Amino acid sequence: MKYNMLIVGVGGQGILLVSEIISKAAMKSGFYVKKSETHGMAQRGGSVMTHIRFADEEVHSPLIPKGSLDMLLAFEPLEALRYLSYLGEDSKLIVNSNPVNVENYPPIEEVLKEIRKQENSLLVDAKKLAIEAGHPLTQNTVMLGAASKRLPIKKEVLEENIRKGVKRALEENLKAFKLGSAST
Amino acid sequence: MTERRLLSGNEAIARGAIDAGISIATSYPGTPSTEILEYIAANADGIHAEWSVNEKVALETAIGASYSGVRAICSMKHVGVNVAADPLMTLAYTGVKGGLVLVAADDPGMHSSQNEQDSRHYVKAAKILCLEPCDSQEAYDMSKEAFNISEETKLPIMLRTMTRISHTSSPVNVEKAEKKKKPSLEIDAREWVMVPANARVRHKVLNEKQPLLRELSEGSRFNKVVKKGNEKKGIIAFGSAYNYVGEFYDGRSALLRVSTYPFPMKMINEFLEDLEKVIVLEEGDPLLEEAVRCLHSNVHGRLNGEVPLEGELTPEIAAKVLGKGTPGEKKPGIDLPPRPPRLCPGCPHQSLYNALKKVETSIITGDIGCYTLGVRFGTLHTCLCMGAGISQAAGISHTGIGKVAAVIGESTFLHSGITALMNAVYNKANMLVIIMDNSAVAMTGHQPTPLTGVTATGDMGGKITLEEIVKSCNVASVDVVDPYKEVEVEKLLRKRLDEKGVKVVISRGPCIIIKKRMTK
Repeated sequence: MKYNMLIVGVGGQGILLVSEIISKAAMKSGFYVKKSETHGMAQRGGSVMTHIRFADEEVHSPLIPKGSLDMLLAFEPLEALRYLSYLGEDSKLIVNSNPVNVENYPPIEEVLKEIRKQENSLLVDAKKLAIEAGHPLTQNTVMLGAASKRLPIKKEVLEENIRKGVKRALEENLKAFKLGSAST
Repeated sequence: MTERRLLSGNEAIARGAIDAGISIATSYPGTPSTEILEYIAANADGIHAEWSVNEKVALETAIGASYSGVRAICSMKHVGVNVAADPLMTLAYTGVKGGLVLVAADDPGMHSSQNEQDSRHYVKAAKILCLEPCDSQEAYDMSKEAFNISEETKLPIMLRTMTRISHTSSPVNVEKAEKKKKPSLEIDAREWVMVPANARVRHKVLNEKQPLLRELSEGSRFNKVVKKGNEKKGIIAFGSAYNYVGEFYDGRSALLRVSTYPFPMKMINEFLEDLEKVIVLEEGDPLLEEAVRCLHSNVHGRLNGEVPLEGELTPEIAAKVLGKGTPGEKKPGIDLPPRPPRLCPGCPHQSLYNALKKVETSIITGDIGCYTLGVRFGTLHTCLCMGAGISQAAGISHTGIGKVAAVIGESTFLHSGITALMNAVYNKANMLVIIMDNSAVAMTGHQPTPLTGVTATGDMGGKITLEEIVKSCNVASVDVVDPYKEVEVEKLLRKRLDEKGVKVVISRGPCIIIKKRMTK
């Protein structure tokens, strides 16, 4: 078993935290894990991505070869489209439908239409669910919840690592995770 | 007793150094090296961990500790090694006492750098030894081993890492820590005072160490023949490049992993026997490839154009050179606007730039930090290396061009702007220097500076006052302004630009991220 997952979005959306939670949960589940991050410009609102790979045996490349993705988890719809080249035949595409604006952002309906065109794609209104969970900044845990059913990691192990990794608003984050999971 | 942990390459290097019993760690922040010192500062009681004002000072401080018999690590990004190159070259002559490891974090692909130089060139120039890991386990093992090699050869050892190693996490078996060494000074002026008479002797000593370095390289456990293939094709991968070979390896070709410099040429020569074709993969410049070309006539890599001469290796490049097909890529049906990094909403630099943009200038020379993003706003016209903006502005002013301005962050100013300012005053330049003091090295994650008086470990240190430094350089004027008062700032900048001499305006406003954190 080898699992390739790309998490993409915009600096400041909490991608690094979710990547850390998934990677530690995968390691706890007995997998060999490799997680590669882009740091440099992350704080300045630039495009961000994390490669997470886990398998029964050692993983070599820190970067996922294009076309071999199991899941693209996108915290922002335009960013989802930026990384389509990584998708393979059976890749899942899970996308937060709420845009983070940038100059010359295309009409959001066009962006969402492009995402719906992809096979196995799923749009999640993470903003709405995060507010329902009690904290607008839990959109990242909503997305983790939305991804959770399709990951080869037990829900309890993910939850355990949310408890370890989240510094603030833990209850809201756990609720966000549940709401995200229930939405898919 | 071992414990398995998920560590980034930087964390693994830091953990390895702690477990090797270091007493001191020095660094200047720079992507992708920053987390090494941060990890040591956060995880080690009794280790002196410091942010030094620049990489030269960082290395010299580490050298002092090594001369005192204890182990020291000094980490920096690749361009930092340029700054530290002066002490490094002669340190190879004097040699070390306690193990000294210099970590150079390269940034092929320039994710967050102004160039993509290959630090191994310095290893060759200094005639020392370098190790390059391919994952966090090797980063940990090599970090520990490097201290032993350093003490065995009495030379500084370079550990070369890079973005994809430093910022990639993988499992590490963490072992028990060694005890720190007790400091003791055994002064030998013939070894430490590099006047010509002594240096001539020490250069010879350095040259006499070279066979030992080659021997250590030939026997290193980090170099290995993975497969002595039956086919006529062979692959040689250096350090981190092995990751991409391992990804696509067919199990048939001959495969050699090399992770040390000087290259194990005997081992390579034996490996090449009977091979008709050799592929060489390495990050950075084709150094190993050049060496292999001396032994073989059919070498494939960067020099024959199969691997690009610029940028970092990717799975796609490796797949192509190894003869693997890549699948067709999906593309979106609409054009996507880029999402480049930008100054945060409420950033004090942006307010200063708003004022500066309204003022007539002939050029605004720039420097390295968040404010380099002013290039997108038209308020920054040069960016070369740390501290260069002030000297460049002086040079432009000496040609007779007026209304010359320079912008520089406070940490960059302390790093290497002070000497440039002294030089500009001394040689009578006419220019305006704007020092943007935002109370942190913001770009690399808000490390403290001497102006904050807080050290890397969060303790109170000595505090330096920026105004006093500037005043002591005898500049024509010093003004401290609040960047958010844009109208006032604009008026002042206009006035100062027309005056003679070197004028300094300190724009003081804490980074908006720090400000938000403080009000939470």
